[in-house]
Amino acid sequence: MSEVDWLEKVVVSDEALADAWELVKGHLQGVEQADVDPWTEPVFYPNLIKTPEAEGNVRPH
Amino acid sequence: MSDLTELTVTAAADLIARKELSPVELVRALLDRIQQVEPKVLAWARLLPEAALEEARRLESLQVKGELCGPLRGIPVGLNDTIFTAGVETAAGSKVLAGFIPDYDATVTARLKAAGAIILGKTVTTEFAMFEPGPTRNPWNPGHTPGGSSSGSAAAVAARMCPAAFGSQTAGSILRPASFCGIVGLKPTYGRVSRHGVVPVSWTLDHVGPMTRTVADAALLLKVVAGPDPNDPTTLPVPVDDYTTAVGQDPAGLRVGVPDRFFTELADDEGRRAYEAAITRLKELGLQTRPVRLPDVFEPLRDAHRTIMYAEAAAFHKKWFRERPDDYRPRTRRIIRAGLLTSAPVYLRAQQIRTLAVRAMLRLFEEVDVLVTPTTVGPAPRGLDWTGDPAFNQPFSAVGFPAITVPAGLSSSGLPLGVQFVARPFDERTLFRVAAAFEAASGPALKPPV
Repeated sequence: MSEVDWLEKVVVSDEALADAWELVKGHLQGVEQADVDPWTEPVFYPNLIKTPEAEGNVRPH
Repeated sequence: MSDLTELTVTAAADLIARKELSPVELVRALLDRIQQVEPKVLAWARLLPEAALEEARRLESLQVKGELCGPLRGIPVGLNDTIFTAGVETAAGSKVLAGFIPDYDATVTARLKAAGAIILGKTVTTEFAMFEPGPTRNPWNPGHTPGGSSSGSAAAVAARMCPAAFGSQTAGSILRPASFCGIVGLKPTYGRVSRHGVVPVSWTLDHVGPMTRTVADAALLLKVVAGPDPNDPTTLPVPVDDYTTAVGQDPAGLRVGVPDRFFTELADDEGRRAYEAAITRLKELGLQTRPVRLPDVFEPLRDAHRTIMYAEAAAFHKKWFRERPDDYRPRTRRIIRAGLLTSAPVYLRAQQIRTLAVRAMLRLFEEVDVLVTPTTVGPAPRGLDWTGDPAFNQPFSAVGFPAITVPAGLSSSGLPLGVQFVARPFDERTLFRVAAAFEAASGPALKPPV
């Protein structure tokens, strides 16, 4: 097994890196700062910021 | 030798093989030392004095008959309290697993026992090997953290309570405490050492490795525990070398990459000075140091690491966390909660970033044989309420490349500093070759004042 095969599990292009990072970073900031209950609050994409529209759409999972 | 607690694994095994030292003498000397210093260090979650002495007597009787064999014949070791020991409580530093007694050994435990090792006890870990510290103090200064999560393993080895111990690393949990306590710590390549029977934090990122006072001992212990394990499908059938033969091999001519950013920007003044001195020492040893450009994915990788760790930790803890949230301490609770809030697309993007980082790091290693960095931002921080910053170890846990820390002197406040070497996947041999040469050029092992 080559070294690359060893780790080749999920593929992304170099060009897509910035987008992927933005999503991950935004989400991390959201979940690390959010004071929400993971059992009852829906996850707001991408970083848990509740928009006025979303406020009216909260329901337990 | 008059003080048996100063013996390294290699030296003690050699004396036992020549019948110049009994395993019983060695265990008794270490138990005496533990009685003397443990109240000040608090490195042990659970000591096993009777069981250790009983096993030592059994091994001694084999020794007398000339039937004692195995590379670790009669060597006492400590195991981080995340590592399963059949019939012995394994609580992972948590309330949730308090009283949990596994009915089987972790693969690492079983391989150590098969090699003749004696399990001296379970060492303190942070809660579930995350960021809530245990009671352990740094043997160099009790007002400072020993680092974590493998806090007890590092402190016990540094304080001469055992010649070797094992820890686990998801971000910086072997190398950081090893550096803070002035010992050697090895995080092997992902897939080199089985995690079967080790309480997980994150299956993408978890590693198990030895903590010792010399590079030669780390090389010996890796050979004992490495290799494929049908119970851990992430282990790979890559040949396991006799790493001890790399120790003492001249490293002159090997290419050492010195990263151009990140490490020197974040290191404090003392950390930077020790690092610069280490680079000078490597040059004197005939190694070819050269600046290397860290790939752009290096910074996103830190966020990807946290995302993966949180999500996978949440997957493991979900049931207990729902039923017993109050049994988790605040930092652990925050991690699990963040993981529960992580969506599948975010997790998969984080995994993609990690894959890009692996590719970029493999390209980087076409130019060099090892990377050298400071192990930590600086010496162990004051206080016992956190275990220090794993920033310098986390990237290599994320990509799974092997890394080792070797002591690199003391700070002005008398606390140890370390230097970290990183090699390409499954090239622990080169790591040991360079680390051992650096260690030999740095003088005798550090000994804390405890």
